[in-house]
Amino acid sequence: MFKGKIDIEAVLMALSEQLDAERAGRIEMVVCGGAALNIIGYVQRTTKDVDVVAFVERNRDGTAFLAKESPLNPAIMAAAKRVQRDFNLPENWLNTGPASVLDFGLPEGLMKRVETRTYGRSLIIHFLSRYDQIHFKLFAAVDRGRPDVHFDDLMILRPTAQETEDAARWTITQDPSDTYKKVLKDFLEKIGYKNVAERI
Amino acid sequence: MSQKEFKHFFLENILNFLWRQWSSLGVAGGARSEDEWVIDPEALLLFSIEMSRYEPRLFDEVLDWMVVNGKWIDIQRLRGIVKSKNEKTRHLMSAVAHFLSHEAKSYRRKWQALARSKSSDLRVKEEMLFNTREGEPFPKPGEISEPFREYGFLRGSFSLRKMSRPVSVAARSNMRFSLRALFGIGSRSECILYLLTHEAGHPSEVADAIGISLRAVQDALIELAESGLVLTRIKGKRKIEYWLSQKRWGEFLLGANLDDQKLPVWLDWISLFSALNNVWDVLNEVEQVISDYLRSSKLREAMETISLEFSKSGLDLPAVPGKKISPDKYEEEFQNFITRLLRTEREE
Repeated sequence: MFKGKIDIEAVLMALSEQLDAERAGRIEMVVCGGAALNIIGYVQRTTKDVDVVAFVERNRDGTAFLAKESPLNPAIMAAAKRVQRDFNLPENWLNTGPASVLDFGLPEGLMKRVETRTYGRSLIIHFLSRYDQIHFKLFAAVDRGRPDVHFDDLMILRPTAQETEDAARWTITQDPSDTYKKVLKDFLEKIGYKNVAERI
Repeated sequence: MSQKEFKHFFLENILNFLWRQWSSLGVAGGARSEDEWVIDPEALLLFSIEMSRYEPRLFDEVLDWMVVNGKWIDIQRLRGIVKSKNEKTRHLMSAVAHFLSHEAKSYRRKWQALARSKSSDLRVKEEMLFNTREGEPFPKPGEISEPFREYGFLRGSFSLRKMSRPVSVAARSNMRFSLRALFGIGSRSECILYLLTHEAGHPSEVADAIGISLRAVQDALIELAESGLVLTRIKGKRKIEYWLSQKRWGEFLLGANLDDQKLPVWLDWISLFSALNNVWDVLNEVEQVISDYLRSSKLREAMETISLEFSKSGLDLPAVPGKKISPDKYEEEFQNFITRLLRTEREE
């Protein structure tokens, strides 16, 4: 369990050192969730894991693209396992749980808005911006259907009506079912975004 | 304690301990003391030739002792233990065996069995046999010892002092030797020693502890039981275990009332020395690591194996540093654990 920003950054630095020792090369990841919110400074709360949305890979010509899994997965996993043992972390402390959103597309222009930090020689992390976190948090909060940490995070981010609408429209691309749309509208009404609910 | 200071502290303690062990076996030059435990000459020999590369005087005294007392060494058992060692240690053992096959002419064939492939067959890179305490190789000598060079180890030519005494089989810690004198070298004497120092033993437990094949142990125990002095009993579901009357056997072997004198304590020296060797290896490995975190990570990783080996040894262990210890505290806790362990070894 990470108590806050200092803990998370110590662990990411350790991961970089382990990757370096494994000679895994430079790893780039896009990270969302509580770890990202803590590091960017929107929240100060405990979190149990680091959620990876995607790995940044590069073509031969240097063009970046996002991938659900890295070809360097074994090296990353070995390094993460050592860090898990050293810091007594839960087994899944570094996970690609949110990576399924890649199947239906990320919010437009996400990579232009990320906040990038470099840890040691081997790790670059792109943390989702506030705008994109609103998208992910809304989707997670609606999915849960009850107040929880995602709901709390969403409220802390204080999204505007326009941001909420953008986020809501994006979540529908992730789950286009009528059932989901109904649940989403109910949720938006409950949290005070009735106008947004009517527009989508 | 800095990493460098701790490494030095560990090496000094190990070398002092080895001097004490060999002195109680009859090596000249060290302080004699009698310990509670039974000495294991095969495990001790292997660990000593590795560690005394930092103490040439001890290395040569061990060779000297082997020339006088080599008849007590169980080559089959030694070969079994050597198998689990790394290539360098196997070569070093071969070099020592090769040297002894020349020096101890009466046991030439015995040692030749261990002196196998030479460096010319193995294409090993030559290296200095001895290192300073700081880990620097000794300067290349003018006249080189041929038996060692043949296995890739360079050292100056030398003559043994011939000061070692025959091992005193009467000492409690040398009970293994008196049993070998009685029952011959091999599985029988090892099985009796195990049963003397344990309440009972299933063949697989005995084989695992003494470092001899299960088949040989099983055969030896069946034959020993035919004497009526080694007994059997059923434990659990059809599991036969062997035992003996420690009082009768102890009084016979020690020639004294067991109320006045205790039987020596069994320690699994194969596991214990292997653990200490792993400690030494990881201390050498982390010496080159600048990052505090990576150093602690490597120590923690090594501790996973080391603590298992220590726990097998039968030593009364201090608490192993737990998983809740943060990386910034781990190196210190690792050092504390090893320090307490070395103290336990002195107090046993």
